[in-house]
Amino acid sequence: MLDEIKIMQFADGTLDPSEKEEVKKKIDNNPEYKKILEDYIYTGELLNNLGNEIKSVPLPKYLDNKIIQFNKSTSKIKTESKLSFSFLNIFNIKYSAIAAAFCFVFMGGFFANQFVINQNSTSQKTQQASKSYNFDFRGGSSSINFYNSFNEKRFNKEINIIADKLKKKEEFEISISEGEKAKFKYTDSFKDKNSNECKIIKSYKKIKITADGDENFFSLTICQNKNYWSLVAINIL
Amino acid sequence: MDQQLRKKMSTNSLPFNNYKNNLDLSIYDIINFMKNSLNQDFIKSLVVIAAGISKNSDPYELVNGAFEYIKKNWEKYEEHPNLKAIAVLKMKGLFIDEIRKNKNVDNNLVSEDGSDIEITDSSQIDIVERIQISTEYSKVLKIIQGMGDKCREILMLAADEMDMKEMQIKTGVNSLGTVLSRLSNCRKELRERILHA
Repeated sequence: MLDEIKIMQFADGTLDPSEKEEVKKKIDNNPEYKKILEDYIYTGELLNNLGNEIKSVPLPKYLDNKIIQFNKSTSKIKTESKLSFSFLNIFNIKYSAIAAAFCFVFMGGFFANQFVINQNSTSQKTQQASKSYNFDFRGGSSSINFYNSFNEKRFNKEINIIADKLKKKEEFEISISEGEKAKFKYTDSFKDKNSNECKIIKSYKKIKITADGDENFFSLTICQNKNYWSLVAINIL
Repeated sequence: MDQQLRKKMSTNSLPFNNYKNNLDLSIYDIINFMKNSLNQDFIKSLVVIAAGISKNSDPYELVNGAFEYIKKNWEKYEEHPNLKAIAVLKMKGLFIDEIRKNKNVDNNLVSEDGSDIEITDSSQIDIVERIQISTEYSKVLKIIQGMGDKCREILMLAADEMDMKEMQIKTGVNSLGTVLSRLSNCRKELRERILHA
């Protein structure tokens, strides 16, 4: 005696592979089961087509507009709040910072696609570098010591092992320079303009990159593109 | 990552062979597939399910209610592993609220997710007319609309191509076996009704 549920699962292709052969044999040898199978195939296709038919009907205008507005507003919020760099903000930057930025871009060579150094009017200084995923960072001024000593390859390798599993507020250790690990905390996530998943991690403690350099908190942004996480922005807080 | 992916893929997997065979996803697609978004496909999926939840009330209004609820709580649900389940439960809640309003039913008589309550509504809208599908399928939808609450719900969940585990979550039924047997019986009943229509 064959359970009808098994026949239904066989018809839908959801039956456990280990049972398939046996069920198939029983169905083949029993015309009654064959009829039941045909009925399940029929209702399966019917429901499937009914679902597709309903989905093919355009949504009412008011609902459609709501979806568009919602998606616009969420992407806008994300762009504004998470990707903080705006070209217009460059006019608010102090001249010295612009000079430093130019100097840095020049020294950075042709691999850097985008770079900005931003100094707030408050006591806390912020320096930010953002770039495309194939970025190969170089730098030379005192303000960018971090980038010089930062081992991006190793960082990317290590971050790819853990990035997917990170939970918000989780703390972890990762290599930032040759032989040096630092503690970071995963603080926030967002999607970039290409809908790639991005995560922001902040250093748990102040990090001293060079022996004579200042200690700073760092915030790093990593984004995932084609299943590969890579560093896209560094903020020195 | 692997665990997350597996979990997502299992809750989003599709029951029908023909769909499975056409599935050609890259890892990148799969990762995008895992992300929650309130796009047209998601909302249209909800319309299919709403047509199974509601009886004589506007399925688009249920979807609209669920949409507004999720939108309001987007921060909370943006990364929820089963956003559709949240939407379905909300739609069921809204439908029950509607019935309560129309009938002045005591709140205590209705369970929280409404899963095991037979609901009949004497109100207004013809769902088949509201969702303007082709004559062939409007007949099928009409037949499903004439069936009991449990069958209506599970058949429309199946029409939205959900797997059994997903259906179990959304129907609020405790065991997977119950979902399977309910679906099996309802499909048999549907077949019978179509034959005698």
